[in-house]
Amino acid sequence: MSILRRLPLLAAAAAVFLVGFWFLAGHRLLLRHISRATGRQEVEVIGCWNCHLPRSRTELRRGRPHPEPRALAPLPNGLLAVACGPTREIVLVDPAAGRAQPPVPVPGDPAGLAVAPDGGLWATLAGPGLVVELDPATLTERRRLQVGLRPAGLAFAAGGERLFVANAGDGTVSVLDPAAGRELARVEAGREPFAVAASPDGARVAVVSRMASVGRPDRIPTSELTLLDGRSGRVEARIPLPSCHLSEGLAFTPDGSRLLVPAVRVRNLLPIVQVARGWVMSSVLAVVPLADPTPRLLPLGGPETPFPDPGGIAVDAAGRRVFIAGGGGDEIEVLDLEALLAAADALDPAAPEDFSLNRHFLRRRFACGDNPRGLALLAGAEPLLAVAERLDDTVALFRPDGSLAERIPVGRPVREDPVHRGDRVFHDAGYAFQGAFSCRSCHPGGHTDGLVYDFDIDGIGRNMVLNRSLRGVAGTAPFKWNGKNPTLQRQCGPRFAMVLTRADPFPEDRLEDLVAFIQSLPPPPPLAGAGRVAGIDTGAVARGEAIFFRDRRRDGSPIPPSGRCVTCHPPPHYSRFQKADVGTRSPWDGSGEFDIPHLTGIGSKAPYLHDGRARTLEEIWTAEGVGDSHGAVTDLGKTGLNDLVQFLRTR
Amino acid sequence: MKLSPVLLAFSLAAAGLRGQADPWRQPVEPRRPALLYDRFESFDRSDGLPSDKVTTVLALADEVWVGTDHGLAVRRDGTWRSFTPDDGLPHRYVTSLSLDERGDLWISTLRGLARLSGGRFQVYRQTDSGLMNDVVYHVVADGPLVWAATAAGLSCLDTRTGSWALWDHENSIMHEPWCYALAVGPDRTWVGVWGGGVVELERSTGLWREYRDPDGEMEIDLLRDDGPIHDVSSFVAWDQGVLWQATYFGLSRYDGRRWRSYLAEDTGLPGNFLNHVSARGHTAFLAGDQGFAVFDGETCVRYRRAPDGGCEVSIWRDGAEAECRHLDTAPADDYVLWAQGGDSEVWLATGRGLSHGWREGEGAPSPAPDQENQDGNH
Repeated sequence: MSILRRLPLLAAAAAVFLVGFWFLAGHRLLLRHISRATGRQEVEVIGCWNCHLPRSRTELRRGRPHPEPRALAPLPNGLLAVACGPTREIVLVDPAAGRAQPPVPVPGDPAGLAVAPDGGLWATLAGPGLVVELDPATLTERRRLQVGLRPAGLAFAAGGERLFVANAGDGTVSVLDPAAGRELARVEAGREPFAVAASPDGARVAVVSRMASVGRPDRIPTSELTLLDGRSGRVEARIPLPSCHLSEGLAFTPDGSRLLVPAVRVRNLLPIVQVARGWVMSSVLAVVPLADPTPRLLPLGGPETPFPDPGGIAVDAAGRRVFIAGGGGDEIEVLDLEALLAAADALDPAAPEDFSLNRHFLRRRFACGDNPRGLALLAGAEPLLAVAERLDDTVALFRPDGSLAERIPVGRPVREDPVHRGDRVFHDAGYAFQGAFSCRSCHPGGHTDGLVYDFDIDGIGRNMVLNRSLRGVAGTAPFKWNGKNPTLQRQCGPRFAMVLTRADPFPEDRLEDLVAFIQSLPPPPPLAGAGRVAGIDTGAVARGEAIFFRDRRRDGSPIPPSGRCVTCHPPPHYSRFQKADVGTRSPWDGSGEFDIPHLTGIGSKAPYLHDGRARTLEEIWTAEGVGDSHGAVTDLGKTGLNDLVQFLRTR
Repeated sequence: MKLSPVLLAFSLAAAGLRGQADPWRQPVEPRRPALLYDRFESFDRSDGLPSDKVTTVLALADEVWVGTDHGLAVRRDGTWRSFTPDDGLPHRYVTSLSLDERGDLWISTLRGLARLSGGRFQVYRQTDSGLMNDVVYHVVADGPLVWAATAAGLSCLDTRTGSWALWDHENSIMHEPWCYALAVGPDRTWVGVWGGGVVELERSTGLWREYRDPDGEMEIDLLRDDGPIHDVSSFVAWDQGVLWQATYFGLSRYDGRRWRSYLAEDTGLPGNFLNHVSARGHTAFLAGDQGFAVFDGETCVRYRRAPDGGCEVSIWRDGAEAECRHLDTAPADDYVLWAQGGDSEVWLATGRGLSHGWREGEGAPSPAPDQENQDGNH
């Protein structure tokens, strides 16, 4: 009884204790707990949802996935196959009837489509790393083959006896024997091989890489055009495309003598002040004669009329025309093939760049829907150009004169949401000076172009910094290498317009949408197979993990907290979200302290360090390392360093 | 006890699978008579090689690749073309060459490993990749794997994943990390270690085995056929169930059960200082400091320059010289660093140029040896 009488008193004492504890230490402890678990620094209201629904806000702002048609493939039965990656569906469109059939689910996100000589439809599925053969009438799966990471484009060669698949995720090309259903070889290509085309006779295959190869930051970036034998898959030539990157399409000329590659021409070695003169980013068509594979770079845009983010390309052999999709300006360019080749032949690669050269071969530009990607020519009494309008979820059919014949919605209609609106902002070049480039022009797929830029706001030639990936940045504030931007709104706000886009800043509502889109981007996936050699687990990842979390050297002596990897790179984001000095300051840097980058997807983020001086993870601690200034590593030896690198590649 | 037919079938299948992976139980080609080449031609700087000191050679169906101490060269359609560090080669001194299944050429040098693909060199160094050390003595491409024997251990690159595996004296059985040569067979990789004999990696299990000279580092073979003839391995080669170890103190042969040792005095080897051995079937091609030889374990045919500029061919059987012949033409030099042989021709890297020998009865030089055997491995 006495206890019962004292119960209110005990409860009151407990309440006083809890409130006191909360004010004295609890709030701080819980904040630290949430921060450690999620990496979030800006928690408004503390609660379980902060950890257990870490992306709830983003999820709430993202509705159902949109179809986002990207790749197109005309089928022998007159239908048009459309790949809808986010919804993991393929849609058959009937151009004659002007409507789409109900979408058919496939076991992954389709990225590329190709039609075999026997009429079968083949698709790459990026997520699971598969190519699947589908029945062209019903889209029923016939069989599947495993290829490399994140396959994108594909093409048949050697009369259909070979299928070439560009594996964007691991920089390889799979050479397949479709009849036998097996992979004959996996050939290394450039960085992020993306589009594939076979020559008209099927004897050769070309693969273009979307990213510039990792090189020294003070050299002109170069992406690779890989030329392979159409039967053996042997690499015949690796053709450098200087200053070119972000290519997502290529085509042979009808006679097979030249390759046509739309690309972004980037001049990142110039200070950003040159944006206002049209110099930093422009679009080109690389014409590459196979007899003399020196690329001729012809401008797709003209003075004050840029043609940002070129992507898909289609060559009309009969009409002697070339169609190119402009993803940043929502336009299609029509080029005269003969005039184009004549201009390319007459071009001296060493001559000063003529921004008005397209007057010789540009025949027409016409508007299309938002973010046009894949193009396809449809044969018929009246030839039509099919355009995948990704952000409008439609496929448009245009006549050669640019007039719209039909616009066909694909997939189930989805309501607009902030993330999707932000996707539009991200890919819209209209927010930059003269509409010359979009966010995507430096951040393909929300990732990074891997280049170093000189922002002139703190002086030309000073504080040159590596472009950082936007993938997985949610919850990793602050931003910028100097850690001065506490939010993405600040990062992409008016100051950004002043130093980069040199135009009006994003309207406030658009800025919020853009941030929602950026926060929705997942981190790059870890490199599958890291630490495995010939399929055998060498134990390197487990040993590397032990090194990452260790607090003692190999000789048993303690490592001070400042020398432990985990001190600055704690999971789950592997960053403490503060600045640190790891001894990488150069004479051109204003400070030696830089924001600690998060390490999720680090294997796909080369080059490394704030100015991109380390081309590989190894170089962080070898060529560019100074003693133990960037973690205690000098006792590791080469095998220990390799273990650490293999572990990091799995994050 | 009655054996279940299912169990019996399973056991037989398992035995068959084991046999397939067992490098010591390989189908063996019928024994062939000792090879005899009777014509030689040579190439040097005057023909377009970057140097007279040729260190390695790789003959393919339609071209011959040559490594020298001053660069790389290739002969196509009768014309030589050279590559130097100015072209992207990581170092002028080329130690070995290997062609992978994709048609890319792998080049080991004294300052890194390179892959020549589509006309461009991609370089791997110890500072920017998992390559164990920049001093690479031997490279072997085997399927998607590229093995590199370096001065600080063994590296293996899985070209499909971009991952490296590294082994040295701290994480493997090898006595010391100075790896000089490699041989790759079914589920096995053998490494010739400078002072550590031969080590064997069973790839499917990750298990290591070491073969050392029971006589230690003594420079005489106290007890014949008791193991590798010496711990200092200069090269190893494997084919069809036979492993050869070249040393600077003689030759060893291992068939999975017993070791045999061979010395110049009683076998006819081109000296006991052997630089290189390659294998084809049960025949070894030996490069030494006193010429080169073709040896099948019983018969040895040794080629050495004669004072008149011709070639002295000495045929040894049963421990004694049985026959001697004289040829009008000879290899460029008796100091031979690399020998790649086939049924009807042989390519020799010598201190004074590249030499090519063939059987005159065969007419014009025939196609190169099988590409399977291009670098002394399967």
